[in-house]
Amino acid sequence: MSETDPLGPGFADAVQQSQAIFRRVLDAMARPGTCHKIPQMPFMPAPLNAASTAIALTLLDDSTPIWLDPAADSKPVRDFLSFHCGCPIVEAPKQGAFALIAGTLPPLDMFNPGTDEFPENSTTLIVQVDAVDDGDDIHLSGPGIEHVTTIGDPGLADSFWQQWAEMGVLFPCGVDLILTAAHRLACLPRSIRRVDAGGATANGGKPN
Amino acid sequence: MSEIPQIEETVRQRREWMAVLAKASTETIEPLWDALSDKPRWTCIRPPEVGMVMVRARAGGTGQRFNMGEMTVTRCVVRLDDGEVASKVGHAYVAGRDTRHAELAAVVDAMMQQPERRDALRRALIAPLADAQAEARDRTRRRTAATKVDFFTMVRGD
Repeated sequence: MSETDPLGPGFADAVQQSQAIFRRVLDAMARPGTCHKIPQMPFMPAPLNAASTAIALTLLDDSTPIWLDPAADSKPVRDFLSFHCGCPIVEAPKQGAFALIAGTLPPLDMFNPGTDEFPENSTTLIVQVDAVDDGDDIHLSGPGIEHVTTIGDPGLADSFWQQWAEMGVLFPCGVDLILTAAHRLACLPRSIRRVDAGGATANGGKPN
Repeated sequence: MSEIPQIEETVRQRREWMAVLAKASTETIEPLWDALSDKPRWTCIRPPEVGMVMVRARAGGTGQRFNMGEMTVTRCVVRLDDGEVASKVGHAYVAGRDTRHAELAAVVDAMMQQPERRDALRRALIAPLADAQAEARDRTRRRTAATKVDFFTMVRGD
């Protein structure tokens, strides 16, 4: 029987808490680069952090297939998701409405960017990173940001920022990222570009 | 191969006590529960929540399946806090909107899965509930039987 592993509790008050988390994700998506804190969680299935766990409980249900990267694909995570969310866990990254990444971020073109008719059918990536804070290492610009905003270095590889710039030409297609670390989250929607400190687009604005 | 009948027996027994708990009510469980000497501590993994389930039926038991209607159910899942790695998880789905009933039924289900508690708990709680339910069923049956009328048609004798 599947009851050999301890199964942890989800939200104590599912309605109120999931609405509060949803509001934070919405704010984070509308104001890219801002950091939002989520309240304490009673339980996190290893290796998920509190923010990823709360987002999973809020956004996932039986209509949202999810792909787990090898680091996140643990029995506690599978048990937790199937018990609390009832979401299908898919084998191919492109099939996922969501992807949960606890290890190194795979190339972005592995995920579903949506189509020109239905760009909203793309994969939303929940990425566990080293840190989410209001530092000034990375400069961002785009809709929802007046001029330029900054975030601390989340620890994403240079190759990621290269791919991110390349993905820009696919707009309106592309993937959206929710970055999580411990109790904090920030969003990187597809419309956002990384710029240098002066506000000029990195890579001269052109993917190359 | 020899494991299968044993699993089926475990499932059959669990089905029995879960049915007894589901058909009971808070009013009937609570006095027996209060009388228990060793009550465990537990955590709600899924706090009691009220929802609807669609009841499906077949006309005459064999016809096409159809949606008969929705009924209110309350479900709850608890895990015992006994410090064990494989702490028992108890489940309950009960008819109606009584959250206390669902929580008690889930806790008792978890306790019944512990071999060291099972027999004492069955004597103290499950058996009295089952007896009361059987008696109530029997009473209804007898009351109904007393008013039974046999309809038959006389064959005209011509």
